[in-house]
Amino acid sequence: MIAGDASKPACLRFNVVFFGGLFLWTLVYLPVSFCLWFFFACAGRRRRAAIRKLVHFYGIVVCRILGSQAPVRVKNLARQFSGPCIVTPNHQSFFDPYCMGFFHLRDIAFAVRAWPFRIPLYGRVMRRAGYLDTSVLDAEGFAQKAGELLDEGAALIIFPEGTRSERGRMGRFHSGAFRMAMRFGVPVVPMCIDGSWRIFPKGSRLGRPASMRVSLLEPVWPGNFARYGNEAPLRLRRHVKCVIEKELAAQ
Amino acid sequence: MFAGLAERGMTDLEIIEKANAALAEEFELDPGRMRPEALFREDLDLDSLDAVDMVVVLEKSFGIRIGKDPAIAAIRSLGDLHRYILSKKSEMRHEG
Repeated sequence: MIAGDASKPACLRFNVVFFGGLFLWTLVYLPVSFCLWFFFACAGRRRRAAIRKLVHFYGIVVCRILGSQAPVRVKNLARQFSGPCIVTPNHQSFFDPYCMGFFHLRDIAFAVRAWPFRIPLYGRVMRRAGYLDTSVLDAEGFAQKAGELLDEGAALIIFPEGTRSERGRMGRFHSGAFRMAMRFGVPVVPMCIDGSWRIFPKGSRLGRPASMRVSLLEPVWPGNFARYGNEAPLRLRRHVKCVIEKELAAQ
Repeated sequence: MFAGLAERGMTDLEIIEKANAALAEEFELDPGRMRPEALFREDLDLDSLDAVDMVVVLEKSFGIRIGKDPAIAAIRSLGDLHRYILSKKSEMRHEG
């Protein structure tokens, strides 16, 4: 189903169920997650990691709400992998960060520009979880914080395009994520999102029912690129982009 | 090395075109936007991390070593970069 096929009643139902569900779920989960976080904190568990896992569970339910209204095909080729890594999704819509809820990596941390940190409540949770605000960190500061998150075992999510693409056409990849992977010796897990721009088009406040595909692809190990010397992050970047492009082109 | 390029008879224009082509390919830039007055940050959407990549690309394209030359930090536009490369070429020619 493509965006143009959705009738008005179908769009209305989609928006009522998705945004209504999102609102209700947030309302219910907020106090529950606070109690759980308090329990973990008192039990001496790592607070930041606990928040990140709670956020992941929040994302799982949001993905289920979307899945009830729009067909989502999920492919996971990284099922065998867990541990610190850098996940590099292409970026099509505001929904993309939630897509981690389709997969098994639970301790996830995002590197994002300033604006999500300004969303009431979300921003507060993001800071507490140790998410990275790329607009205030310089290169070295970013590397230090990223290293801390990876040391904690987190999967660091970096959108290499830096912004949402136009109508699903993938943009240029910046190399920050790949430099981090080379520096810390952690794998890059490419992630391909295809179709979320049709559900939540850029510039539109409302969504519409359409199909999408989400694929977590096989991890790419930076050690395989070390022989390229200072060109290694660029080679790694090109390789990962190529892998995502191939997945986008596949039916 | 640049001296080598000069010996092979590469003109200033050819060097500029080669630099533009290398940057356009690496950063997926529209060749139409690659005017000498184009600012890296504002017009070409290249940030400080991209500057690190740019050094790698130029070193590879021209077979030179730029490393952490402080002059790189002062480069703001494509024209600045062209002047930098041509000045390096000139330096190399005199040293050679």
